[in-house]
Amino acid sequence: MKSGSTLEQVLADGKFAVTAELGPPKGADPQVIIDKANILKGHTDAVNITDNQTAIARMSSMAAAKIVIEQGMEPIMQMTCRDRNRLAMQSDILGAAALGIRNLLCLTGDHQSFGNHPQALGVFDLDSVTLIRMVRDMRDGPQFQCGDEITFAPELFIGAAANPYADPFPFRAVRLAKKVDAGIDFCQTQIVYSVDKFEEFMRQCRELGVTERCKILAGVAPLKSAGMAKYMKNRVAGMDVPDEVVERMGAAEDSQDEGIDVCVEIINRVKEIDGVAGVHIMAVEWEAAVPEITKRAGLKPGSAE
Amino acid sequence: MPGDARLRPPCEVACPIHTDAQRYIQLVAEGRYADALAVVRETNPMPQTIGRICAHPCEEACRRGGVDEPIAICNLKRVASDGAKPAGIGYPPPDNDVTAGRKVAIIGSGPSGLAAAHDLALMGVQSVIFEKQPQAGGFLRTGILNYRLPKNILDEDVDFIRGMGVEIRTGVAIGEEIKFDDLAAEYDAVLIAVGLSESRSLPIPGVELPQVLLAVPFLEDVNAGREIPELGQDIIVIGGGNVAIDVARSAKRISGGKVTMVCLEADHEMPAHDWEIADARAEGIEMICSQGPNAIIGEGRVEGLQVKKCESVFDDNGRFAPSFCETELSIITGDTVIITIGQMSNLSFLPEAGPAVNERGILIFDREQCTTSRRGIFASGEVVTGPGAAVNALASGKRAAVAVGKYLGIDVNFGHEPVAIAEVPADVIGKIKSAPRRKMPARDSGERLQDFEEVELGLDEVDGRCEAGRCLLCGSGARYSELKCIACLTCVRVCPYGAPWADKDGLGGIDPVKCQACGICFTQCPAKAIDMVMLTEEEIAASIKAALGGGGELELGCWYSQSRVAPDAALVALPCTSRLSTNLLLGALESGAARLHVAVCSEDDDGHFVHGHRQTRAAVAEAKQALREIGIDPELIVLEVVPARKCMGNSEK
Amino acid sequence: MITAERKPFEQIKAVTDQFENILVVGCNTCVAVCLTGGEKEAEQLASQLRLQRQKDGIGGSVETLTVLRQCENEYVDAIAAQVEGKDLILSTACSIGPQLCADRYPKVRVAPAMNTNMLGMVKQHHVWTEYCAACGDCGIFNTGGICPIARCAKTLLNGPCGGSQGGRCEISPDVPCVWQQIYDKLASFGIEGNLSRIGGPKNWAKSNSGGPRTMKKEGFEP
Repeated sequence: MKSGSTLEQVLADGKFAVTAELGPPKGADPQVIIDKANILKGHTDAVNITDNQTAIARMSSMAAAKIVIEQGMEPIMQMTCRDRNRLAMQSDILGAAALGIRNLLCLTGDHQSFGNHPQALGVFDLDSVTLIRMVRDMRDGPQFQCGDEITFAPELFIGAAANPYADPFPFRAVRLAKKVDAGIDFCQTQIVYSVDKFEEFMRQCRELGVTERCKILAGVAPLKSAGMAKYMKNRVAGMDVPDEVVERMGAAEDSQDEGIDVCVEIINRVKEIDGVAGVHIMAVEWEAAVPEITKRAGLKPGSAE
Repeated sequence: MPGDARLRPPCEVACPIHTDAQRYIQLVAEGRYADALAVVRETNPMPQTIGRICAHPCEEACRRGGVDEPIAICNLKRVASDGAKPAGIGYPPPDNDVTAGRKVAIIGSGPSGLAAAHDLALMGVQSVIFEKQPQAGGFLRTGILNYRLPKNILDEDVDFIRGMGVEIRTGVAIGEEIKFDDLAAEYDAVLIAVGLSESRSLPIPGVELPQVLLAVPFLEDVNAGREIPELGQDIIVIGGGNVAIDVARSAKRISGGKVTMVCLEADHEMPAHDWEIADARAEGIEMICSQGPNAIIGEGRVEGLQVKKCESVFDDNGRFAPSFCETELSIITGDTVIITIGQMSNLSFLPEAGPAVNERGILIFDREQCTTSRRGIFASGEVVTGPGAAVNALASGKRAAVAVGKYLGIDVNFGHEPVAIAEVPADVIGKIKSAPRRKMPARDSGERLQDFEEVELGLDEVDGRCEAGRCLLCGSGARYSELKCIACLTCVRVCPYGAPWADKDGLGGIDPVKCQACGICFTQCPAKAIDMVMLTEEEIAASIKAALGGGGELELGCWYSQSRVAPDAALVALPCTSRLSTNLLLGALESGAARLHVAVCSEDDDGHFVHGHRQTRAAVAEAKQALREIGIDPELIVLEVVPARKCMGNSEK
Repeated sequence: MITAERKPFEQIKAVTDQFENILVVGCNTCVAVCLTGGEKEAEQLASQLRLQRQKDGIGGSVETLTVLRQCENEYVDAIAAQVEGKDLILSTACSIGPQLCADRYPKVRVAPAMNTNMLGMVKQHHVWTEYCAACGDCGIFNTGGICPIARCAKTLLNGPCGGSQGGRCEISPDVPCVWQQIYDKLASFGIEGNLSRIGGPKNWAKSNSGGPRTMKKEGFEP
């Protein structure tokens, strides 16, 4: 065991893992996190705590992750390359480990022009690959990026994001392999709506031996409305939403209910794909959907199927 | 002209007197006729005459000929002089004191003698011209008819030269009233300019018949208005040259009968100018080619001309050596024969002491120095050059004037021969907008035979300016400073004609052969390294300042436009408003313009410079934006679209 | 070359309105080549200032001249006679120019008329695009001769990120994804496998982040 986290244990045991997302508030009130954690508790193996997602300033992922731990849940802290240089990153990583955080998702981060502080400097001292390698070396060295010895290794389960739908498509599995070489233990994919393309991606991953060294969790997200479906399709970079899904959402009487059903169908399909070790449910500002999804999909945290 | 080391336009180079045709054409385009005439006078002492009768070798050399048709350079000279007349054709400023010092005697008042006298007067040397005929002008008077060169026009040109202090004594034959040696003794130098005043005859049977006339006496009679009783109704003119054409056309007018020209040359090699042949044919004169005169037949009077087939006129070396088929004979009926086969000079007045003639009776002559075998005796014109165009005689007389001046110790020099710019390249020809040559209006071919009044009527103002607008302004386009050029490639990219070129080391040059003088590169150069040879930025700015006089509205228009866009405003006209950079527009406002009206062609009627209007529009847009930025009303600059069909090449006539 | 854009006139005017005798100094190198600050443009700006000041009733004078390169002592020193008596030098050069003017003419205030924006390549006439970030440590051989520091919005050395779609960067459809270009370029040589090697982290100490840089050369000294 590299980190001793619940997520690592569940995946090591071969069980189908379930993770979800929890976005920190735009304020300093810990109660928001506590309330969200209470909705998700018992329904997931671990929960992602986003880090200034879409470049919008929020409470830090590390602080929110600690609050989540205090609620008896396991967080996956996220760290992007946009807002910190390698010094701040290493400092926060040591701090996170000291606070008991055991999972770290390493991301490049959305460009600052998307968020509410477009005039900020985008740091990007490292990118996701060099961040991953740095974290791995901190844990396994244990050493700092400069080569100096770390006195007490941070024990972290290292993850990254993967996007089967971004371009260049033939390179996507190769890039995930690169992150695996850099040192990730698990990854979460971008939201799957087109299962066919995802299957092809998984086939390439298997071919490259990625699935043997890294646990892949398929990203899913319930659609709330036809409008959201169209938005995801047309406005979000790196998303592939098939037309049938948009049409289904448009034709539905209760679009939220339909959205959950679509999500559950996708979960059931990806479960059957060789190499998929779990799902990552991204119910954006709709945490309440997570219990419903896990219920309809017959998923229990840490359960074997 | 700035940049005189540049290649000159071929019209100027081909012109025997190197008249700056491009400049006077430019001035005609602007409607500045007096200025245009002044430019012509810089080299041409007889502008009105030449503007009527010139052989115009300039037009054969004109680069526009490679695009569509040559510019009607000769006709435009007439437009200039006709246009300047209402204001009065002035005399040159009297800064030459011809009464002080040397005096030169000139024998003959034809074009070479007149030109020599004119140029000598400019050097401060007085000339006295001795003319045996009762009126001055030489062959211009006696050999060319009124319908081609009105006598009053010739008088005006001759009077102009008189006005420079040149004395012309008519009715005085050297060798008779005055001996040549006496003349040589009395004057500091003598110029023989007697021309070719005697007609050649033919040694064929029948030549002695009464109805056989020679060209020169015939034309003299016609010009003097004398009766010619021998002239019948069925006239045969032997000869194919310009004089033969004039003889034929005169005979046609006087007799009202049939006139037939017979010449050795085949149709395509007739020595007369094409346009003269066309004029004669239009008047119903027939031409029988490739026939040589064998005998004039008739019992006691002319009844016809026997001719033999001429198989070739020139030998392999290009020399005149006609060959005939003696057995292919035919008869052309007629009642009059006029022999117009060429002329020779009358040098009977030359004394024993020389100057000497060679075995063929031609003056021994140095072409370079214009000297004869006798010191202080010079010669010019057809007497030494052989038959040629009037403008060549002018050139010869002008050269002789320099020779005489040098002989008299005046600091003058023969000019250097200019070098012409090359032909328009094929890839540029396709980018030049085609426009037909304006036709010279002429009197109806039937009506004009009733008299000797002038046949050609002259281009009117619209046609004249439109025709002038077709000029390509050869060699007057963009030039750049190598020092200031930053090799940014802007000119290479914006030129529609591919004139600027670059290699790995930077700008190689701006090729004057391709440049069409549109001015787009000049307006776009970010380093101000480019200016225009004709009409520099400084000159444009100065004209704007002068036109404004401190305030008021200003129209910035183009030379070729026939309509004003702001008739009440002051006007500065340019080859194209594409010459206007944003800087010039703002500068005009700084000079006090209350409003600028910038004329531009409509988008589909793209004017002389096909792409010019796009630059005009861009410059105006940029200037308006510059005004907006500083809080000044952008409508101070108004883009005025010139209605289609109101511009060079497009004007409906 | 260095490219720069003319500041909005309002910004320039906010400075120039405070001064009486102004010298607009153009530069005939980079900013002339990118058609924004050469002699022609400097004269145009001077013309605009004169017209504006006349309208606003501001006295004084606005003159203009242009030097070949405003980053050279000799060329900047050569205009001393015209600088004499001026209250403000308004430079249409890249920011190096006005700074050098400030160095060489310490008694005269200096203002930039331009916003220096990038080291640009001429894509076509009138269009410039950023090609170099002057990072001081050029590694473009490994990326097919294409720079991911200047041309990737996130300066990735192991791109593309998940935002690359249809060859476009996530920040704008007008911006190509340079890592797509790098991938395609290496693939055209059959070496896209090189991208499996981890690149970086970048040594930013060699860039401006390490402090303002000075370059020296050994050799003959005058």
